Amino acid sequence: MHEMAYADEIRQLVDQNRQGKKIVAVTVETGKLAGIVPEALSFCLETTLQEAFGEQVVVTLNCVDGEALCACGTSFKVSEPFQACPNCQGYRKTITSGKDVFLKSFEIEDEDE
Amino acid sequence: MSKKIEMNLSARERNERAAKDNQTLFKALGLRVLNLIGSPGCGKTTLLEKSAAHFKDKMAVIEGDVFTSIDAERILKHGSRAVQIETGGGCHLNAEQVRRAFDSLDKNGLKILIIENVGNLVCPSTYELGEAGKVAFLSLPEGDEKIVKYPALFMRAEMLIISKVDLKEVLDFNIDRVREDVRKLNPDINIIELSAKTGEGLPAWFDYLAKGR
Repeated sequence: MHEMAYADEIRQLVDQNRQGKKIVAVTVETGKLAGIVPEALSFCLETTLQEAFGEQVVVTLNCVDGEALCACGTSFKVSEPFQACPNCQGYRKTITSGKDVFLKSFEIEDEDE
Repeated sequence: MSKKIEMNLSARERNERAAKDNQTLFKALGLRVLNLIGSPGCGKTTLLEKSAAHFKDKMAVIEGDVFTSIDAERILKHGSRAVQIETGGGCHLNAEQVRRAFDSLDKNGLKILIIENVGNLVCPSTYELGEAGKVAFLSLPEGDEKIVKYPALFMRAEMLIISKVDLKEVLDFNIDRVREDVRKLNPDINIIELSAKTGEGLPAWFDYLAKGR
């Protein structure tokens, strides 16, 4: 949920960091525990970023597994909240990654040609 | 030709930072701060009315709703300070809204700050406000399968309030199933069964507000 709000935050982060340069591509990464529907986020990102920076912007969205650390000391990949630890079958875990949405990188038009 | 710039910036960071600022301020003022999250109609405000009558001016409530200040007015009538945030469409509160509301409150003699989030089992759970802990609500009329349907909230809460237990006899609600489901997700969660109507469980709730887990 809140894909539109995330898309707008990504737009702001790109704008704050591009130093006025023309954007040609943006790569975003979302974790599987972020509560995001990837297709919806993709759509919102394209709409928002193309409206702000031009039709030429190519948007890439990568969706990655989260990671959890179990009380037994095992680290394991998680793709949804009800996963048990593969080592002890317990649920006493801390999610260490996978809940966030990141602006990974963007590409600017290289004017030095 | 294009040039790639690595960023690695979080889209959640702005709210997280605002939440941390809130948390720092709340700690400096010695305030106990809780974020109440549950469906519309699960009994959050009614429980806060009883809490306001008990704690009076030691407690303040920041109310969150899409529209109206009905809830803040209810709290004020029962003796605690209250301020209303009307989101006008937003389905959850964010840290910046909470800060603005908090800045408008008289903090004299305040010990407990309750934030009653917008009625919603989904969105509020992932937006930090600077609270010490989240209190999740599940009322008997809502059904006993809701823990597994909405795990994000129940995973993050430190306390589960099972409310409206005065309706035990007339509803097919399996409290043991709820306890089992929630402990599986969150082994350390505290649970209080209560009825704001009959008073059952209120002493334990008041104790939790005053002293914590």
